[in-house]
Amino acid sequence: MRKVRLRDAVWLPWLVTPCLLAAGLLAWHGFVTAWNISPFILPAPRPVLEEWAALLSSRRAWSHTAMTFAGAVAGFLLAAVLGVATGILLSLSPTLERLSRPFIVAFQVLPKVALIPLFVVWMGFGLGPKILTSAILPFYPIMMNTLLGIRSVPEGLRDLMVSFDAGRFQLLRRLEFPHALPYIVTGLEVGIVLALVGTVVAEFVSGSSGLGYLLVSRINSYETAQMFAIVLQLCLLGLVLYAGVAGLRRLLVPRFTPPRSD
Amino acid sequence: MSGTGVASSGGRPPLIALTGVGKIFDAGAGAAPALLPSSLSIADGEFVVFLGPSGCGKTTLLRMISGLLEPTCGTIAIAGSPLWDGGRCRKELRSRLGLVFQDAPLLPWLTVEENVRLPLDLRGRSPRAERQSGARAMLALVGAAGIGSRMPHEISGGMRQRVAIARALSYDPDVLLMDEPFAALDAISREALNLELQTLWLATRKTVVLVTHSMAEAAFLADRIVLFSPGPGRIDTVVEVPFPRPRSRGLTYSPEFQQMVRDLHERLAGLMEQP
Repeated sequence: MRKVRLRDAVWLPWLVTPCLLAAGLLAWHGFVTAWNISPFILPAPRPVLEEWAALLSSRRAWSHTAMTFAGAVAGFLLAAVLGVATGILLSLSPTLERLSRPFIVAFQVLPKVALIPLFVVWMGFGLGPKILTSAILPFYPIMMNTLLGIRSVPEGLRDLMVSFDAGRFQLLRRLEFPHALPYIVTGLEVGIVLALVGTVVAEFVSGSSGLGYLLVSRINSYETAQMFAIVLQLCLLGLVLYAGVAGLRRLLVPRFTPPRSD
Repeated sequence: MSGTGVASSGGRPPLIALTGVGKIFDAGAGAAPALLPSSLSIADGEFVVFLGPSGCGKTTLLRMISGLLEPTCGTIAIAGSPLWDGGRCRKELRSRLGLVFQDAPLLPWLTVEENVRLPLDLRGRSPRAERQSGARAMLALVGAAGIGSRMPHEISGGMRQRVAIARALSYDPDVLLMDEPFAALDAISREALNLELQTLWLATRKTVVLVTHSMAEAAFLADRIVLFSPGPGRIDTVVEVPFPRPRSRGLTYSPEFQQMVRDLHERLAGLMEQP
């Protein structure tokens, strides 16, 4: 095991980072007081933190957080299943991949949030548009990473499996999928963040619940400090979701070491 | 010397018979043949080495015998049956061939023992316990006992190659096909593995076809050396190696051995100078 230097293990994360944070808050406070900024434009850190504390102790705010959480997770799971399945399907047939490439590119360059009003027309103001939006955003990176992971299997390993009479399904299960797993997990890590983006934007447009809805509902009343507090809450939610997927890597790719680069 | 070398070996029936086997990649305008039609017979239990410079078609021929690459022309017969059948390699013959690749590819997410067991697991013909004990026995046979639970990245290059040989032997093939197996190793490990390979071969009497570009390795290991020449790739000559077995390291210092390596060297250098 490599020795970790004290400076890297303790000094940087546990001392320097909090100090930088404190300095930032202080600068923010100083800026707001010195220039006498209106709290409607930029509230001081103290009221923001107070609002966040209020949010954290409010059951209603937690139920909104839970709604956003549920929307992001449901969409993400949908995207994970469909993305991995589509990636595998495209890897099986180069012809299919070539045929579908223009459509995939067209879909990828389309700003997908523009579809939310359509989803609302089709599915009403419920959970439907929210889950669908949070699914279509991460779909592409998850699918693409699955495909790239399978494509990057070295020819030598394919030859090896062929020489052992491996069938198509065995090739997928014993070689391609395990080889692609680290790529897929990277896709999932990108995807979970996009799923949260999709959920929040859908809540802006169509929601009657969730943190996105809560944020937009504060516009008319100019409760800027509360808006900041909701952004902080979203940041917390994003961290939890990302940590969940990062934990998945440890679970799914325990013994993996990167292949030699030759 | 003619472009095709035909050689038979002392009356024994050939285990591998190549008749007019050739390969052209991307058959189209201006495509150069990788291997001109070549014929060769390899007897059961023989140790044959394919020797030649890069681009002489020796690896191409080995891949065709391995069932990984379809010949453009000619037939490859294993124990009398054609290996290729309508563009497909016949499975029942493929399981008689054990392949050892150049860089000893092991699946990095499996333990050493699981890697050795992989061909048995994929074919799934024997009970699990039998496969496990078989894999351990093979590891012991190649001098890699006790590393079964390690991961591939934890073992040395020489050990990797031993594991790859154990894996190829795990399903008891008749033929061992080895593509520059020790090319990536340092000279000392390479010498040690050459000695071990000879011991293994004397113990198991598998038929071995080994590709190399090392003249000393060829002269040390082979019963017969098949010399390839480039541009386009073809079999040039077949050289009988007379040294008795078991061959020791001492042999490599003898004048006869040195003379053989020098002859091979001259022959190959002469081939390279031809237009």
